[in-house]
Parts: sequence; structure tokens; C-alpha cells
Amino acid sequence: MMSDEAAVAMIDALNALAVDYMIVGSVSSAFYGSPTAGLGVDFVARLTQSQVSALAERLSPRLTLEHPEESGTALRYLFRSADAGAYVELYRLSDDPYDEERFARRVRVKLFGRDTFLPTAEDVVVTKLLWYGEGPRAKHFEDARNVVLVQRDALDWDYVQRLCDRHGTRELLDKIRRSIPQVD
Amino acid sequence: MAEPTRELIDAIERDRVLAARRMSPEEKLLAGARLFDRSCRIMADGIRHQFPDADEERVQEILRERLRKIRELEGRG
Repeated sequence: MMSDEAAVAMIDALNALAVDYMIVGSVSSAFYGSPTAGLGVDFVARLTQSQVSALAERLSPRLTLEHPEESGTALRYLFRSADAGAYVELYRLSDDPYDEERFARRVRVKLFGRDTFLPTAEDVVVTKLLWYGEGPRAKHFEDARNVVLVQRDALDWDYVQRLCDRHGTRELLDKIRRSIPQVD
Repeated sequence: MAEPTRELIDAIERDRVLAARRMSPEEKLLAGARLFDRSCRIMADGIRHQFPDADEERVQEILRERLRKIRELEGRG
């Protein structure tokens, strides 16, 4: 099984069970314009334990639920394909105020041929800069920069600036914006 | 499965790296092309969402333009 097949299986299962969720990570930044070399597909969902069990039952035997583990303030579940060729990560929505905020702003899109949900482009930029600020990985900065480059006129800049001010990442955002006008 | 999840993910990634190392140059080229193609498909879905009236030719044109801009920016270091 390929990662995208695993992702489609997860989308179908989440939609069928009426779980509130969104796709995050490299797929969301690629959707808004930053190419990805990653294969994984990450989900965030507002989940009850009974929904986790229902998901596991619905996805078996194509995807098997591994043991959950703590990841920051969120709980992470790994679903792995039977042939071990693919996996998707499912994060339980944390009670972090910004996680709640970006989740509430998520948008319905068509992706992988399915109706599904993503964070807004603004929240992809804000989140990538937040992650870069917490533990610099060049990919996070590049994703934020590429989404700004591609979406710049379409972005709600008041929102992006306000959130970056709140997270202490305004300097990173300004660095990106200074680099953009030189390109076109 | 008794292993913690992070360890399992690391193991899967390690298997992928080892599998990539076993690939011939031709296979590596094909794998890279597949990844790029996947990335372009996701980007094209995003363009269709943003420009619902764009026909397929226009979607591909916007995609090429976005890739060009990113290459130019990356080229500037």
C-alpha cells in the first residue's frame, strides 16, 4: 500500500464516522504551494476513545492501529499498512488555544479525489513558523516561505501578523517578507 | 506491537532509507520522479481549489509558474 492510498482510506473512514478532522503537515503546505518530498500524511482530529476504536475496526486489516504515544500536548496514533509500506499519523486535537483556533478555521477542500479538510493557508504559515521557532528545521521555514511566496496576495495578513506576534515569530515572518519582493 | 510509536516510525523510515540505498541509479531516478509527480498533484489540487473556474491547461500553467518562482527564490539562497 502507498501512503496516499493509506491517506484516502483514513479520509474515507473519518468522513464515514463523522469525525471532525483536518490534514496537516507537508501535505497541507504542498496544497498551498510548497513542494514536498515527504511521503507521510498527518491528521489532527477531535476524537473520543470510542471513535478511535471505531476507526481501528473500520480500517482493519488494511491499516492497523499501533500503540498511542504522547507528542507534546497531543496524543498520537499510528496506523500502519499490513505490508508495512505506508502509515498515517493521527493526532488527537490538543487543548492548546492555537490548536483549537486553527482547527475551528479549517476549510473543506477536494484532495486525493476526496472531500476533506485542511488548515487555512494563513494557519499553515503561522504553524510552520511556530514549529521552526520551537526547534529549527529548515523545511518548516522553507514551507512557510514558499506558501507566502505563492499565496502572498491572497493571505489575510492582519491575522498572520497578529498570530506571529502572539507566538514570538514575527521576526521570522518579516525576514520572509523582506526576501519575497525581490522575486517575480 | 509493543514498540513505542516513535520507534516504529523511525524503523519504517530506516527501512525506507535502506531500501533506497539498495536501488539502482535508474530506480532512484524513478522514485524521485514519482515523489515530484505526487507533489505536483497535491499542488494542482490546491490550485483547483483556489481557482475553481480554471481549466486544466490553466491549472498546469499556474503550477509551472509557482514552481518557477520557488526555484528562483531557492536559487538566490
